[in-house]
Amino acid sequence: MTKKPLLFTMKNLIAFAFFLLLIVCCKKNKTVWNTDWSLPVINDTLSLVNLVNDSTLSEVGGFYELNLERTLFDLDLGDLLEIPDTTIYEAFVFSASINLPPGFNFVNSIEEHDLAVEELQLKTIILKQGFIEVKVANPLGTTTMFNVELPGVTKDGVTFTNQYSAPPGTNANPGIIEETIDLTGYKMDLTGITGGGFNKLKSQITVSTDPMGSPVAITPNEITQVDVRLRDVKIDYARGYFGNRLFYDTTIVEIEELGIVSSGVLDLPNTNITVEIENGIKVNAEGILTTINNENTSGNVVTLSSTQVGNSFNIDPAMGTWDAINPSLKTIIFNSSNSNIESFLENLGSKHELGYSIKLNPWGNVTGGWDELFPNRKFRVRLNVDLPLMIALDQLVLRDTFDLDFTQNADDTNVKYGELLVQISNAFPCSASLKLFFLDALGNVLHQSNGTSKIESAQFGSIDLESGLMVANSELRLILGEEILDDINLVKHVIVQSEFNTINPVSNINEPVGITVGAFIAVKVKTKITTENKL
Amino acid sequence: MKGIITCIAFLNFFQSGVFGQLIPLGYDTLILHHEIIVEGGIDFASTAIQKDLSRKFLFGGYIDNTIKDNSYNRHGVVNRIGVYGGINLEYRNYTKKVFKKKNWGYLIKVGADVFGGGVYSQDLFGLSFYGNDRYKGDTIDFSGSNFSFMSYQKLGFGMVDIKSKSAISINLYNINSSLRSSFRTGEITQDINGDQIEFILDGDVELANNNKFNQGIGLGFDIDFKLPISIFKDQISYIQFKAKNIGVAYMNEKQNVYSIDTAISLNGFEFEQLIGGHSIISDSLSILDSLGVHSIEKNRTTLLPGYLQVGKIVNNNMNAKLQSFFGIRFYPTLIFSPYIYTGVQYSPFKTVVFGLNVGYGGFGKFRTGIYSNFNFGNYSVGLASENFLGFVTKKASGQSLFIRLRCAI
Repeated sequence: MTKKPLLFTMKNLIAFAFFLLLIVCCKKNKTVWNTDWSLPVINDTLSLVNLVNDSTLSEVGGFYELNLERTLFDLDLGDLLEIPDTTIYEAFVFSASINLPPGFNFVNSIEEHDLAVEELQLKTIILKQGFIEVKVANPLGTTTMFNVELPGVTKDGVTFTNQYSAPPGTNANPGIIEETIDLTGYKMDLTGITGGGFNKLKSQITVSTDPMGSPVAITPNEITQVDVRLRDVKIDYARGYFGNRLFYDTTIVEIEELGIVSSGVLDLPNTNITVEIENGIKVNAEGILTTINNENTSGNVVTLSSTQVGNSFNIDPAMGTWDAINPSLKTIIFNSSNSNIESFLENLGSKHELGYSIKLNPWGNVTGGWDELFPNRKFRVRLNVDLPLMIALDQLVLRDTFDLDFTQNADDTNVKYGELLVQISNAFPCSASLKLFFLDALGNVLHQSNGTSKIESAQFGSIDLESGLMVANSELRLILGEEILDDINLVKHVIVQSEFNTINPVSNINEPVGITVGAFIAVKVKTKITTENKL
Repeated sequence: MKGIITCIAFLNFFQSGVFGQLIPLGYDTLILHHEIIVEGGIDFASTAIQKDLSRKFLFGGYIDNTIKDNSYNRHGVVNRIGVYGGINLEYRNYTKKVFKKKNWGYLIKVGADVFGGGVYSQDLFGLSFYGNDRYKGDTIDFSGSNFSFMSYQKLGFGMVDIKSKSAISINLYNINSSLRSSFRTGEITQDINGDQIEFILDGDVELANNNKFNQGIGLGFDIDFKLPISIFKDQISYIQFKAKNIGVAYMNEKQNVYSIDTAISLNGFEFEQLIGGHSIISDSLSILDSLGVHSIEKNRTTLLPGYLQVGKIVNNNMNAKLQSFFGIRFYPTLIFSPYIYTGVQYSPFKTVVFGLNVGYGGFGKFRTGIYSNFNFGNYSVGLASENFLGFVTKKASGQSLFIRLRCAI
């Protein structure tokens, strides 16, 4: 045998093997088949039961009534009576050089230190929190004792006093000792040495040389000094004159649930809204509701018009002491006779703006410096709404937008058809229709899917033996057809829109109707999709 | 006759787009110097899936409900499906002696193979091809389902006996794909209205977590020994003991192992579960957790999909025109039942052989096979199918085509 035929053969064999491989790899079309899938997606019952007894709803005569109690603001005056950090600096200097024997005392007289508080004239305070940082510097060549006393600063009747032993030092390199003491719970008499002042912190510091040490010489250049720093003070109790302070703010309250109202009319019965201002502080005040308005999703703003808005009113001081304090209560009622409350509420504002200002001691220090702040007593403004849920809905449209990020490739397994089967048992006295809008990233509506029928009002239903309520059962379908699914990669948002009506079965017009206690809406949503599987 | 069979074989070969794996080599003591064998092909078989459906997976196209129904109605309680195939090139040198032993040449082989299949229920077929919607008010039971698949490339070195052509080789394997799934319990029950769906699942799925070409490495061996025995009077027959791809592989790339052991009843979610930042659909891990699926990554050691075959082979040294062959082949896996086969070979001329065989087991049931081999001097071409019906009727289950090209000098 020669090599040539063998090589020739190998070439042919390898070429043929690749040819065979090529045929296997060249499958022209994908394998395609369809499968039908179904799955329960939602099974839930919505009711107002959870809102009862949480200060939102109450039950009156078998119907729900809105009984809304909300605290709009809650002001702790103690947080506003700020005492800035204060440093007491004491220095001991001898006018001539002398020798100090062991146990020699030199005592300062009681000193007064002003707390840098503006407008306030505090006579007594009890600290919720506070610290004293003491730093002593000893230039003497012997151990020196420092006794720091804060007259008028007491806890359980005991005056604050503390001793420090500073090691020997020199003028250039004094013996230093530092310590931080917690003053929480201490009572401070800030009336000063005379007892008639205010904002004055007293101190007395005694220095003595070591009684067991050696005599030591001291010159006028050797300064023995004590720094006492009061920091991070928060007040639990205060008495004095709290000044002519003005607090004001505009509070914005967003009610997101009402942000989905798109159009339509809501007809509410007459109602009252009560604003309660509770003053837990023993200080006179003057308040003004500067503005109350709301804005709905259409941008329509309704301002609450009333003589009680924009005009000042007095707020009496609280009465009593400590645990027996009785806050004063100022009640302002808005109703149909003194305001446009009905149109204000029917605007269905999702953004509410409430402006207020409160001025303390509007007539000056008329209490002789006897304003008092007790622990945990606050300035509160509360809103109370009592509204029978006797509501007429006339083509009231709610719409909400959800993001959607679902992509599929037509060349791979993809969804060809989808269907949402919605089964509803409705005990609410309103009907609803459902629509889905499919939007691209710019918000353009690409497709729309309408429910095949509406969710029927309970007024058109029959008595449900289990609940004892009128219940209407409905079934509708939302079809996600091929044209929607073909564009599904472009869809970035989905709007769910529902239109509500309270049609009276007899008159066939939308009329106010009460919501029965125990009303519910039971929702079952099932999907059915057809996938086109590709391999 | 020769032309007709050749035409049929080639026609089917091009129709199907697959190419052959193996034609039984006879016992041959002809002294050779070099030998090159290229063989390849694919064998797809099933106990129930008809060819009209399986062809769609080979050539593409739309599987309509008629095609689905044809196969669905043939399914029993336990069904098998599987495929094995590949392409291998082997060079044998009988002139260079290894180990200085006079009668042993050497061989080098390279190849790429796939092996995969599974046992499954009729319901699993229905779920896969129809979806779950048709099972409202019924239970989809796929307990005991077991699937595995592996594809690999190999490089082998070994020795071959100059006279008997018995051979042994040690092979290195590159595992580039491995998949296993096993459901000890798998039941999905739906009520008639589709309001409630209940899953009882206990199983594992293991698959690669990246697309790297090398997922694992393996070491194995092939052996092919032929032993003379006397079955008929004054006549020597040869029994072939063949083992291929016997060994283990270590998956050096971590594999994702998903385990589920749960009983879940789903009748829909509450709004709070679907809407908002804490919704379960905002977090795929939450969905898996809520379904009781746990996953880990791990390296593992696994058996290669090797097989053992024992059987009587034809003796090319005999002058008889008609000879019989028979044997058994089995893979050490549950998805492949032992395959027994028997057949006859007819050699009208020295350069032409034809064979017919029948077999039962493997990935399918009863199968008929046909093969032919043509010698052109130093070259020979062989074609075979272990499922001849797969070429003539769409009601057959599976298709099979092997080809071998051989040059021996």
